[in-house]
Order: sequence, then C-alpha cells, then structure tokens
Amino acid sequence: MSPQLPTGAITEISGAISSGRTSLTHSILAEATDRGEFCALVDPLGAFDPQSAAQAGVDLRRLLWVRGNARIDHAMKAADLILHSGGFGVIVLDLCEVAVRDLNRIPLSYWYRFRRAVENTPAMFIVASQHALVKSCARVQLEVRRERVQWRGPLFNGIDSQVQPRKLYERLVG
Amino acid sequence: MFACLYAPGCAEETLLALAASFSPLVENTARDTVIFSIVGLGKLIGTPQQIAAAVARAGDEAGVQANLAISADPDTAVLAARHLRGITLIPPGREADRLGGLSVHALEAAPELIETLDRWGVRTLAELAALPELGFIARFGDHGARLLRLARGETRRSLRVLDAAERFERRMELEHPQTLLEPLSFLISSLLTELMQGRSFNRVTLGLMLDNRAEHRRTLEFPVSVRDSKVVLKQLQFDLEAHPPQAAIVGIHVELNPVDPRALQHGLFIPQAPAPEKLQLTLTRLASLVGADNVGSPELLDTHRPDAFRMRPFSPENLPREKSQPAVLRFAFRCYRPPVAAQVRVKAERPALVNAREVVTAAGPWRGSGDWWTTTPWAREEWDVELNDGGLYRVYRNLSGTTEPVAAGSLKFSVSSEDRSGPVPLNRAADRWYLEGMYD
Repeated sequence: MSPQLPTGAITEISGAISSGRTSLTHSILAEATDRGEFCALVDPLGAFDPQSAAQAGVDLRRLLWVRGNARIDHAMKAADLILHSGGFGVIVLDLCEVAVRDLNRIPLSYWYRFRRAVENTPAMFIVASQHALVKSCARVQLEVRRERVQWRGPLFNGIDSQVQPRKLYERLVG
Repeated sequence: MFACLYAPGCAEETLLALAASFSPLVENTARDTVIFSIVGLGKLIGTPQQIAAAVARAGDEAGVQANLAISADPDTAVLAARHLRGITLIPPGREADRLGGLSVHALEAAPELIETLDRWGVRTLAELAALPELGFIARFGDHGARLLRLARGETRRSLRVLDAAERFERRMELEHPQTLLEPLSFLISSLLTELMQGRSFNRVTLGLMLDNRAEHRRTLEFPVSVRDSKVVLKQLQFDLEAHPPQAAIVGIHVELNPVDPRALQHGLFIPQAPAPEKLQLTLTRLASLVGADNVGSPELLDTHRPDAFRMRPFSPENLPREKSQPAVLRFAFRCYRPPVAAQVRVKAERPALVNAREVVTAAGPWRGSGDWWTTTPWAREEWDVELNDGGLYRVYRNLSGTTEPVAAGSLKFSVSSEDRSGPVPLNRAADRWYLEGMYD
C-alpha cells in the first residue's frame, strides 16, 4: 500500500539501486489506475517492465508510456507537455539509473516550471531518482531504503523496503 | 411507377450506373437489386413498354443481364423482378393477379411463418391473399400484415433514395511556388476553416502538388472526431515538419472525412481524463519528440517469450473500468533494452562473479525456451543474483545459439574454462551471458 500523496504538487522518491523505488512507483500507478484515472510515465531509459507493472496491478490500458532515447532533455520536454496537457491523475518522471552527469545538467528552472504547472490541478507529479534532485520544489520527498532481500530457499521472493519521509509539508496517510 | 432491375452476378456499380442513367431517384435495395423511378420518363421515352425496351437496350449495351419489372409499388417490382424472368409489366391494380402464382417462399418472411403457411396448405401468394385479414394479423402481427398487403398488391411506399456522397474537399492553386512551411500553414488554415464550419471529422488528407509534378500526400487519422480547425492545423504542421515535401509547392488539396459528432456525458464522480483534442495534440508532439514508436500504451503479448509486449496507441476513449486483479508480485523489475552483455565467472555451475562484482546470493537456474517452431526461437537459463554492490539483477545465458544485440559500450562476455565444472559446449554462442535488468 503506497502512502497517500498530495495532489497538485511534486513528490520525489529517491533511493539506492534495488531499494524498491520502482515497486513504490508501480504501487502508486496501480492505485491510480484502479480509481479509473489515466497515468503517464516518462521513461528516458526505456526501463519500464510492463509485465511486472501488470503483476503489481497497473492497468496498462490507462498508462501512457513515453520511452525516451536516453536524452534527458527530451524526457523533461515530454513531462512538460504531458503536465500542460492535463487530465492525467499521476505523472511519473523516472530518472532512476540516469547518469549523474546528465542529472546535473537539468536546468533548475524545469522544477519550478513543473511545480507551477502541477499546482492547483488534481494531478500528482512524481519524480523517481537515485538522489534527491527537485529539492525545494518538491512538497514531499520520500527515501526508499531496502531492509532485506527475501530468499525462500532457492527462490527470490521479494524486497522488504522502508519508506522514510525526508521532507513533509503535510502529514501523509498510509 | 417504379422499375426494378435484378441482376445476380452483376457488379453493383454497373447496376447503379444503369439505373442512374434513367433517373436520379435510385434505391440501392441490395447488391444485385436496384429500383428507380420512371415517373417523368413518359414524356421523354413513351409508354411503360417503350421505357422497358429502352432499359433493356441500355442493359444490353452495358453488358448487364437482368430481370426487369415495372410496377406502381417498389416492393411489388422487386418481387416480380426476382421471381419472374425477363421483362414484367404490372399495370396498377393488377399486382395480385401477376404475383398470385408465386410461391410463398418468394416472400422474405420468417422461417416459422413460412412453415406455418405450409402446414395450413397455403402454397402461393394468391392463396395467401385469400386468407381473412383480421385473423392473419392477429396471429402474425405487423409482419403478417405487411406480407398480406404485398400478396394482395396493396403496398405503397416511397423510394429510399441513394444520396450522392458529399465530398468535403478544397483545392487551391498557388501563384508562385512556395518553399516555406509557415506561410503554407496560413493557406491550409483558410481551407480548413472553410471546410470544417463546426462539422466533425476523423480523417484529414493533405495533398501538396509539387513543382516537379509529383504529389506529396499525407493522411492523418484521429481516434475521436474533431471539430476544431486549429487542432487539425497544428497536427498537419507537426506532420509536415516531420515529413517535409521534397520540392516547392504549387498547389494544395485538403480532403476531410465527416463523421457524427462525439457525444459525451460527464459525471461529477468520474475521474478526470485527458481532453481528446488536447491529448491528440500532445501525443503528436511527443511522437515528434521521441518517435512515434516510443509513445503509447504497452500491451502484453500472449507468449512466454521474455519482455514480450507491443505498443498500441494511447486512447482513453470508451475505456471500460475493469476490476483490477490482485497484485501477485510485490517487487518491480527494470529492463535493460537491449540487454547488457555481462562478464560472468562460473564456479560450481553457479555465477560467482558478474562484471567483477562478487555474487552474494544466487537463485536459479530457471530454464525456459519457446518459439522453436519459428525462425526466432529462444532458449535461456536465468539466474537471480544479488551482488555485493547491493544490486539485485537477473542474468541469463542464451542457449539458443543466436547472438543478441547488446547495449553499446557494454562488456564482452568471457568464461574462464578452468572455472567451468561441466563439459564445454560446442556452440560458443551458448556461452554468452547478459544482464536483463534489475529488481527494484
């Protein structure tokens, strides 16, 4: 169960590799599509796995997937276009595993622009990354930490993760 | 008076053209049957016999072999043309006499009704016409009443006239060849505004006549009907930027396909959805940014082949809500597309090092194969490995003997033969290991 995140604001999810960031994102998408909302995923590296998302409960028909060509500038423009298009319940910008040098080249003005675009709308804008990027423009920052990996005999059974709020402007439910 | 042509085996267009050469009022009753009005032909051609002879002559010239019936009622004419060979002229009031000899099976009636008539011993239309009206209607309702009127030659209806399809197209010849797209958009905009005028369309075709006498033709399909010319114009601009003409433009041709307007019932408690026109524009912009193949909704394919999906156009219109399936797995997977070639060191038949990182835990092997009956078979041996850098990966060994495309700059695989406990496979391609992705 994902925490109830604020609408009209940017939520940042960060964490190390294999910490459960993507699982949390899938969980948020699954709940949104279950409510009948349409969602968008901007994925510059094309790392989204439809199979595991469907198994997490994401209704793929309600998901607009924009695969990038490893160009971060294209991903930022795509997110901007989707935000201004309106009508999406959850918009996810997946910057996990993007090289740090590329992340550092993202102009700060983009985050302010996204914050202005999403405020006063019923949409959630989620940025998933390895390190905190959005800083003051994010209303909520969540850090995902892996507690342990579940092995059941010779079978990989899942990841136990803990979600720790790093920055909260309001009390989260869930 | 109406004439009916029945020509089984004749092309529908030929039959319609033959009928249209005599009257503008033509009903396309079926693929092999047309009815047309001959009212007014009396002054041009003469009596019904002369009209029938003229139609027969025209039919011969057009190579149409058909039965012809002329009657005061279209349905009577159809019945006569379909079941009486050659030319049949039925004067008004003589319908029952001419049709009386036909079998009741000639009527387009429900099989149960025909079976009942057979049981009653009613074989012909004359016998049907002699049945008491009230009792027959009480048993068979409106359908029975219509059949009884047809058998008695008492039906009267008007033609369902075939309207010529209205074409929504405009052409414009330019005084000077145009090479820039921006001024061109003003001209296209004026043509679109003139054509649309609040009507709804789902397809627009833009033809640009080029200086080299070629035509640059682009067609845009819209998943929903649009009535805003600005939306269409913007889409055309994006399309022309992506597919520019190869020579100067000397003429413009715009054609639209009209459809019924979209009717929507909004609700207070229905979740928001993207506005179709705005969404279409956004999707076009996204497609021009990252490529059309990279925008859409993923659809899983019914196969066991790993990472099997296809992209289909994202269309939120008329999407029914389905009860979501309970989640099966609670961990997500991130794919490397294409997979990354990995350097794997094997000890005791288990991966011990992956790309110089120590394997902490490994689960496997999970072997799978499929599509061996096709030209693209696959066979693999998968391992879930936890490396000492904290990452949880899925690595696999390709057993199909084919070489897969790998991500640029990735490490080339090699396995130290001294670490291999089993026999060395003959096929070197089977030694290749790949990183498929990461659990996250």
